[in-house]
Amino acid sequence: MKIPDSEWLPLALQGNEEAFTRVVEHYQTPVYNLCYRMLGSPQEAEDAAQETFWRAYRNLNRYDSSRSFMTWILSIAAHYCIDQHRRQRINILPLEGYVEDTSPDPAPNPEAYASQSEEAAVLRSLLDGLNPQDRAAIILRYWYDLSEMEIAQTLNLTVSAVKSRLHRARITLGQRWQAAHPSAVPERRHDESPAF
Amino acid sequence: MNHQPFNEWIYQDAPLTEQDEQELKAHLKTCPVCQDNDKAWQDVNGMLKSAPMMPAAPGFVNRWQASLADRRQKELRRQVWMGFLILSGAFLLTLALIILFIVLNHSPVSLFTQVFESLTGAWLVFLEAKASITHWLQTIPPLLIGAGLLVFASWCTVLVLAWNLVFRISSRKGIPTK
Repeated sequence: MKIPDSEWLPLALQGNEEAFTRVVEHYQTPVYNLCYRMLGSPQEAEDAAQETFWRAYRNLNRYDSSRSFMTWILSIAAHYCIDQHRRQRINILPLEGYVEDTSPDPAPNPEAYASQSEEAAVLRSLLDGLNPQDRAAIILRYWYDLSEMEIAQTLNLTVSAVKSRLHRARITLGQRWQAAHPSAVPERRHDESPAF
Repeated sequence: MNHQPFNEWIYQDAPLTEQDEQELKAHLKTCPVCQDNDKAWQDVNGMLKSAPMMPAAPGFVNRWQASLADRRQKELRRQVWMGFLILSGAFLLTLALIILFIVLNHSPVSLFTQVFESLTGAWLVFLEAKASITHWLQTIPPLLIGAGLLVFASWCTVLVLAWNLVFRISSRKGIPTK
């Protein structure tokens, strides 16, 4: 669906408020998803997504139309969420506790239903173990299918930095998975050296 | 047992060459540590690849529209205050520079003397002006003086109220930029 980029976006760039509302409508899910995966809480994700659109709205004149609007707005969202992590030091759930953490969310949100699923809770808990920039790189890679180059542009990093962050994040995710699922893999032999 | 480069390959995003893949498979058959790592990463990778996009709660766009009006108002209010602070800062900076210039270009004694002379001169001028005004007022009927003072006070009141009103409106609505 190319409507915002081809029709609404140019109008929005000219200051048309209604056109920007259409842009918000079109990009709400990718922006919200990034914020949710970064922050792990529906309420914080909602606030972060709203703030992202406000920042985009205020800085529309700085948008380089040769770039993808999606990458640009995801960049705003990712940086905001990384800043939020730094500022608030979000409480990280202990990995062992994720299965128990399935109480219904009080927010009137369909994701509350989804968050009850074990897989959603496991994913959130796994991502909580990553530092904010590694987490953003993993989210952009797996949910948005961005290339390493695009991730580098979005996060203002070099391509080699993105590669090493992704690699480090994968190792961390694997380790956390093993720690949470000792039964899923055979018990570590005591005479074996760790591979890390 | 040496786990490299096999452990690197397990987490590698780019596809392996056929030869590397064969080597990795052979290593995994003999190395339980790398087997565990491979199994764990395959599970996580599968989960990441199948995870759906999380949609925002219904009404996100309506909330955006409501918050836009609110944010705009706050932004404009902030602009008014910023303008006020910048003007105040510029005034104070100019005043400080003038004082600094005077202090740097005059010795304390000459500065004190000049200030004292200026104050004395001003006092004498005041006394002369007072005497002249007193003399002049004696020639005007008292009723006319009262009426003049009343008009002056009324104008001052009107000006203060108008300034207050403009400031309140500006801080509530902001100054339109377009």
